[in-house]
Amino acid sequence: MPFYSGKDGQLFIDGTQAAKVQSWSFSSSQAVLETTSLEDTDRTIVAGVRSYSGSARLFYYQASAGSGGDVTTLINKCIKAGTGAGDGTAADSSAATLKLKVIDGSANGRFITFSTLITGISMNSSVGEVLSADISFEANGAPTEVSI
Amino acid sequence: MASFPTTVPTPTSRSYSPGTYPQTEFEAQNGVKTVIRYGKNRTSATLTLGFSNITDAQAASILSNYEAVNSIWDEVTFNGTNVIEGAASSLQTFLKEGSPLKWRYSGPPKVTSVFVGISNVSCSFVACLDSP
Repeated sequence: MPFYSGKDGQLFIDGTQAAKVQSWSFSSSQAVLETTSLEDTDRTIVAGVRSYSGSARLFYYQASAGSGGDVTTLINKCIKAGTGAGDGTAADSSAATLKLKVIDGSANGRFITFSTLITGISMNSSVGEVLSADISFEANGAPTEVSI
Repeated sequence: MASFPTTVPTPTSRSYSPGTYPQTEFEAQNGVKTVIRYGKNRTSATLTLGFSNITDAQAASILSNYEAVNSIWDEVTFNGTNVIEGAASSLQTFLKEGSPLKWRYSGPPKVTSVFVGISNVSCSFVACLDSP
């Protein structure tokens, strides 16, 4: 099947498939270094640093009451509780290995895997809506797997 | 004399000042100005070159040229190099100078590493009149 839709997408957090993922996205950017010199008529460049970032939306879902879920896992990566009011030395944020996958019918599917830091999480509880969380992340270094 | 490295590409930026004539000015109380000129040649022309995002090997060749020239108080020539490219021939005549002015490094080049194997280099020169 040459075309794919949301039902073919999966997100893995630290090797475990995340449940109730609504969407994932990533983007890659290539910085350039300008080498245009005085005799040039057109801009010339060489490659600089690459960077990667992305986002995902997950429902706040627990298999059983109080068990926590994938959103809890991601929150715990970047939000660390202190020991008391005014504590300015809580634990460092933790890295998360995120694998963004497309099921294409092959044995392993198509995927790209990043070691990331979660750079943002937002949750909003409102009447008439299912509780969900939006996360954003940035990759640390190059993707560890690229087969997408 | 030593030629500036020909492997270095055309500068990203270049600024030139032709220098001044050696003279002293006296201004009388009535506003009359008297100029005593001590020589007919300009002196202390300046040339500042900027090379952005060149390879480390090209940056090293500039440093080697600085060592080779300054260790024996020699002069640098730009004729036939990329330093004067991108300028009209009439301006190139000034940029490469010639007798009696001689280009020398006015200070050590500054190398800034910006990426793996890529550097920015800035170097400045002053054109001097050597004593006979």
